[in-house]
Amino acid sequence: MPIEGMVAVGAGLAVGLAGIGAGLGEQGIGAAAVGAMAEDPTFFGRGLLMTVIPETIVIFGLVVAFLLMFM
Amino acid sequence: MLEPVRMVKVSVVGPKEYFKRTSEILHRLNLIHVEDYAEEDEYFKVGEPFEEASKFSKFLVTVRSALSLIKTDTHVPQKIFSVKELSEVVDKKVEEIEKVIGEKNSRIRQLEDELRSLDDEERVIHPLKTLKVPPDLLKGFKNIAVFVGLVKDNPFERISEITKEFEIFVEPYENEYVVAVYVKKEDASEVFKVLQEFAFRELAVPDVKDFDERLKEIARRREEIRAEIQKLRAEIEEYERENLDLMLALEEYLSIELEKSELPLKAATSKYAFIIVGYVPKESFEQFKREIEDKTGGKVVVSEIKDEKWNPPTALKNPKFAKPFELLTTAYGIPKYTEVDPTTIMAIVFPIFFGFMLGDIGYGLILLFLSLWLSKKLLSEGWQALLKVLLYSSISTIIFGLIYGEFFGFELFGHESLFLKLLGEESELAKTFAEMHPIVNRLYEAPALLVLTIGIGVLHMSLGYIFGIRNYIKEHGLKHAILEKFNWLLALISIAFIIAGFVVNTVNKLPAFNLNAFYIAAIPLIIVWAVLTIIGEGPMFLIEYLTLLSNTISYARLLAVGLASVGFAIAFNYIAFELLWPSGIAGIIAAVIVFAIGHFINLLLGILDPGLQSLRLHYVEHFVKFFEGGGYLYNPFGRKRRYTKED
Repeated sequence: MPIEGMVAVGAGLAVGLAGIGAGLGEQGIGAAAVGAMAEDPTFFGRGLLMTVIPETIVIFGLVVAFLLMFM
Repeated sequence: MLEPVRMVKVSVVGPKEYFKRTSEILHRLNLIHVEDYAEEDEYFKVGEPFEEASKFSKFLVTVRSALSLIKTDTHVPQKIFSVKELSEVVDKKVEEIEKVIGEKNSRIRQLEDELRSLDDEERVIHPLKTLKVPPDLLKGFKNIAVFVGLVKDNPFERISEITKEFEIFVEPYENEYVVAVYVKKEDASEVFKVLQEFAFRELAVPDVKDFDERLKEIARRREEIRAEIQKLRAEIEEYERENLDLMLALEEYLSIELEKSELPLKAATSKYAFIIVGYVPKESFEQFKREIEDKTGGKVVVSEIKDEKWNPPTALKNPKFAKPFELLTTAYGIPKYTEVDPTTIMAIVFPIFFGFMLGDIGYGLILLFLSLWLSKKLLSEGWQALLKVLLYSSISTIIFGLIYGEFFGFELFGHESLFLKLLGEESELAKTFAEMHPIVNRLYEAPALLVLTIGIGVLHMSLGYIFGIRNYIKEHGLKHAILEKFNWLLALISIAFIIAGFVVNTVNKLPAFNLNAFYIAAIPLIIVWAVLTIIGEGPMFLIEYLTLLSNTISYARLLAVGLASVGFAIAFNYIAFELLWPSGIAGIIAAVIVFAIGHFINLLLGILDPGLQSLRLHYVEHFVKFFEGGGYLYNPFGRKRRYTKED
């Protein structure tokens, strides 16, 4: 198999697996944040903040994919 | 801008005879944020409301309950009532409202009760009717007991085990059976027990002559009642529409009077004097003092107090264009009085981030019209602010769309120009566009944009740390600012150098960690950062360097979200074009449908995602560097009049 193909597969895996990981991380935090917000609506800002913390993992995946594809 | 309004703590002291007068003046000035008095002692107690408070609050309940029947929030008043006028008519008018609307309402409630009892009766008659026994034969015997009701199964066998002298009518009815059992009085209790085994539920036979007649009567009566209720409702609505201006004015008048007469609940009062403590904006202090002292002939004294219980409210102060963004700032937290208020910066950066991500002329135009159209429809304060945010974002989207040369995912310039596809290769216009180049082509220049986004991130976060340093100097002093905020600014710059070194090596096709000037420049910064951090926060905090690194890379989403949106648009356009060319009418229709649905979905995502991501970059990466929150909003004693005016 040509190496470019493998690189593309690797880039896809980097984003996709990171996405799954972030999703798994966010599910618990998101549920808890919504619960806290139902108790106290002013929690919205901090709730959003905590919910999206694992999202950075996807960005890592994306940056890796970029490095693979373009550099 | 960048800082909440400066406040001074004041006390308003005077003799009790002047309390009511002072309350009037304070309310009219609408300046002082009154601090609740809570520590009662031997001499000073929390005051009692003025005597008219209970009357006003009773009236207010009447007016508000009448107003709750009608939609009022979009009403524009035709007539503004003066306070004098209202104070003269208030007793009569409230009585009238209570009479007209209250009476009609209680009549409606009565009619609704009757409707319910009719429904109940009908529910009984329907099963009874199926027995085909006239109603007068279902009850009222001297020596015979009659059980009429619903059972789960036919009880004939079981009853005949007890007695042979009985009569039974059974008819199926909706998965159950209706029965009428006639037995001698002495067997009644035995038979009742048997019936209970069949889950017997009694049906009370109504006093009527004929079931069918009665059903018709019920239907007729129901129509009558409904018509009457409708008429009453219409009358109420008409009365309210005619008197809406007055009612809203009364509501406002009464609320204000109630507020004024309840001011003593927040004040400290002794036998002869009262004290109100609160905060007034510094710029209005002189005016505040003068007004009160002049109007009370110097009997009530205003003075500035400086004590250790200094906890002023936060009055956000931003230029007009940035006001709508206060909604987003306060959703995160209300800045403390001593903190930087980042709203104005956010008002500039948020739309830029949004446009950077969405960047498409077509989508931008749709969002622009959408926000303009909706701002005519949704008039509540929150929506207006949100739509202003969308308006700014859409303008920024159009500008970035021009920079990227994108229109609904099509390229406007270059050899793949939309005009080439639509007008053909020969067209002069198409040729002109094909020869032009967009300033930035997102797809081809992605790596460069990636570096740019990281650069934006470093700047954005540096600003956050600069605010953080300023907050710490104010709250904890210079030493803490250097040990806990400045060190992280150095760390951020070192990260910027490391990334720059990496980029330079990549561009020059050298191994990634080949030593170059940028890497060397980062080393002293890292050493200083490490020393400061260990002194200030402890060695454990060194690990936070990685958090900062991930924060920096997080700004890559500015590019990522945009590319995803472009990818969607290109995919839908490709499908639409493939459908369009080969086939006839059917192809064109299919292409239009695919194009419309695809772009609709993408636009929906295009509002949500860039909006949320831009918000996230502010909340998570930017605010965390300086924003602690925990302030409380300035809420002066008084209010703006909408439906009433002072004389």
